Amino acid sequence: MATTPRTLLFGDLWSYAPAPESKDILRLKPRYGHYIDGSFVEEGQVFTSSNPATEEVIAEVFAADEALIDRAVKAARRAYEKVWSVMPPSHRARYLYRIARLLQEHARELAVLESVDGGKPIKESRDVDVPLAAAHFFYYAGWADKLPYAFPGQAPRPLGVAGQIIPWNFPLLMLAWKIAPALAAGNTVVLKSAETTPLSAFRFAEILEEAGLPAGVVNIVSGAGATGAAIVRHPDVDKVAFTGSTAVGKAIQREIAGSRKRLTLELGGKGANIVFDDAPMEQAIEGVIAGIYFNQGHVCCAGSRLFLQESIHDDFVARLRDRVATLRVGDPLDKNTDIGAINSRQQLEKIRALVQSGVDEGATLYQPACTLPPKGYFHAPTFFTGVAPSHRIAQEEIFGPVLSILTFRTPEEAVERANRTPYGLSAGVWTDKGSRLLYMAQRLQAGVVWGNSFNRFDPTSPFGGVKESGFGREGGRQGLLPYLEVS
Amino acid sequence: MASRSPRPPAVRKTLKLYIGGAFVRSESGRTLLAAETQGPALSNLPRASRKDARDAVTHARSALQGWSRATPFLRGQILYRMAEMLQGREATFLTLLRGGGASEAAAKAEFEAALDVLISYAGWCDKYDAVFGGTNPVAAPFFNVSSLEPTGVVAVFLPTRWPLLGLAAATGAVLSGGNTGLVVAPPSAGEAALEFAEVLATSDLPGGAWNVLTGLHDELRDPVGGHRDINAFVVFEDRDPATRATLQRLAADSVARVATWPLAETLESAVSGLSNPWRGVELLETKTAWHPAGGR
Repeated sequence: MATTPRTLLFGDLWSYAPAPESKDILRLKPRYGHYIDGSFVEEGQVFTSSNPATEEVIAEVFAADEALIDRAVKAARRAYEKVWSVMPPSHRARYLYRIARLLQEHARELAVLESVDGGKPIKESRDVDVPLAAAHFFYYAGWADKLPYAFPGQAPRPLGVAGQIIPWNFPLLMLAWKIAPALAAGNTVVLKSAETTPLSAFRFAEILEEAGLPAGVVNIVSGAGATGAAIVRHPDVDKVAFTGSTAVGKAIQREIAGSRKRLTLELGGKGANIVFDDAPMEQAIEGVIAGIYFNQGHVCCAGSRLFLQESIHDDFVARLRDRVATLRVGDPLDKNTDIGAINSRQQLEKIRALVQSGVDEGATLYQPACTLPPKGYFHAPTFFTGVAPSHRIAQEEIFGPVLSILTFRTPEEAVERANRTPYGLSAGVWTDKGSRLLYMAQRLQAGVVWGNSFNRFDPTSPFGGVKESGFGREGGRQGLLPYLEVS
Repeated sequence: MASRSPRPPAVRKTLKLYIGGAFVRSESGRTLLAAETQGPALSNLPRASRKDARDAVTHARSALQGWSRATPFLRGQILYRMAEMLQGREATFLTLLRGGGASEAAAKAEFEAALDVLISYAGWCDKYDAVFGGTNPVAAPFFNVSSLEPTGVVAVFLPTRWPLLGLAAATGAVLSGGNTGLVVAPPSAGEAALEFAEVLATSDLPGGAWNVLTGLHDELRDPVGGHRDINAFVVFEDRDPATRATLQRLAADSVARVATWPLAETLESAVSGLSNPWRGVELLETKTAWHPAGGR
């Protein structure tokens, strides 16, 4: 006999007192120029970066055009030939260690800046983004003088100038994932920050100054698509590394066809989080929450499709509903906030449109009763039940706090349904049975599979996708490979 | 009573494509006449059509699950068996290579190189994970392991130079890691490629895992390059820049991988480049699994 799952009433008898992190620690300038050849260059069309939680302008930045990109690439080439590639590897290591240490020393400020510029909850920028960014530099610093051991017998050589384009969801962390292995391998860099979150990259440039990194080794520019395209097209760029949407990734792949440029792409995803009936339920609920609501769901590897074994569906959904009701949406700088601001108005509108498509196509929407701040871009945590594999919300990357729930009966069916997507970035499997976990891990088409966990990252652990989620790995020994010639 | 000719006419072989484990004519019925190919072909070559290529992809896709889940030990045995079968056909291959203009010494050198490369890849089957994967010491209570998995269906465009070496390397690099696929041989390499198909057919390789087509690169690069069910392409460096550029452009539609393989000036360097395990690793994907290790 089916029983109706119990609904927990949390009520609103007690509310959390505000626990805001102070912005006093920020040392922001009113405007930031491109960091080219060791100088800040205020050239190009001005645009602004604003706080998505308040819609207030924080600072002005500039869009780099082709001429500026050319200057940056030339600076990187000079630094590559005269300084960085001829420096003893152990000295490169020292600079990278220094950068890692300085990131740790500036951690609090950088965390606040990430939250202010991007909208992510301070507890995430403080506990995930910034520590992981520092850890990446620390990890790859150690590789700089050990490259022959990373790829024995291959006499690894750097490629030259790397053009790197990063997204807005983890600005500082993506910068670290790109710059740390490139420099450890002996390359120099021209990096473009994302249009809506350029500030931590420029604060990072100031940290490079503090570290005494030779001019031109790292060049950082801001701008939108046209700036990125200028980097991709520049004839003296040896390697392009891109993290972002699958559509733009494909355009880049087409653009460089026929050239000698090397390419790595870390693109979109529609990660499957698969819960078996023997899973540790409370852990699984937390894992599902972490999988989709972490960073407002602005995560390429988000567990945006939840596959529940049919027998636990009703109970699990009831528990999930209770848990989602406790999530706190609001001020990113409040230490109690679970879900901060959506990164931009444009992204908020995209999320709303996809949520509406879910309703229109017949899935059942759940959103907790929560009050969203009157200003800024916010979206309530959302999930859909009764989702069919053909629904847009089951197919398309939403990149927001929106979960689509589907079901399965057997492990084989779970594999088949989970793999039925052009993407292949991540997956999660929840079960108490180790053999089943490995069975699933071997068959899921994904670059990363988390067992009884989700959205975990570590500098030693390679990350990246299969199929239309891109190619190449970031992290681990494998993460050096995109920046080296090995045979 | 008619007198018997002292030398009976030879029984010539009709050359056929190798698709799905069977020797078939091109569905188009077209052939490349020996007289027109300007290559060593002594017989008329089948001229594969885009439909033949699609059939080959379908077979390769069907064979992928079985081949990729076969034990690496078994894959190694089958690749080694190919070398055994190749050795048994030495005289035929030398004749074909010499027909292509190679001197006796050059033909022999290429043949030996092909054997070496094939055997080298046979040995890699159960060593990729040990050398290129491994456990990762994450700062959390997890057993974190990276292993290598096949990219999927791979299409290789063979060069005109050292066709047997190129084919042996492609076969080894693609099949050793568990991929399946198809190879497109240009007319000058066609007869050697189809002879090689007979090696494949007698090596216990599951039908469809590796398909051999002969045809024109100019004609096949667009339909093959645009095929969304191919996960990776291999093209040889500098020999065919048009094919390389086309494949790289078309591959973007499905984010397929394009590997460019070196083909050095000397046979010795070519062997070194083609037997480098990175040729195989380029066609593999690193999968990283996090297994909880915190419980008791």
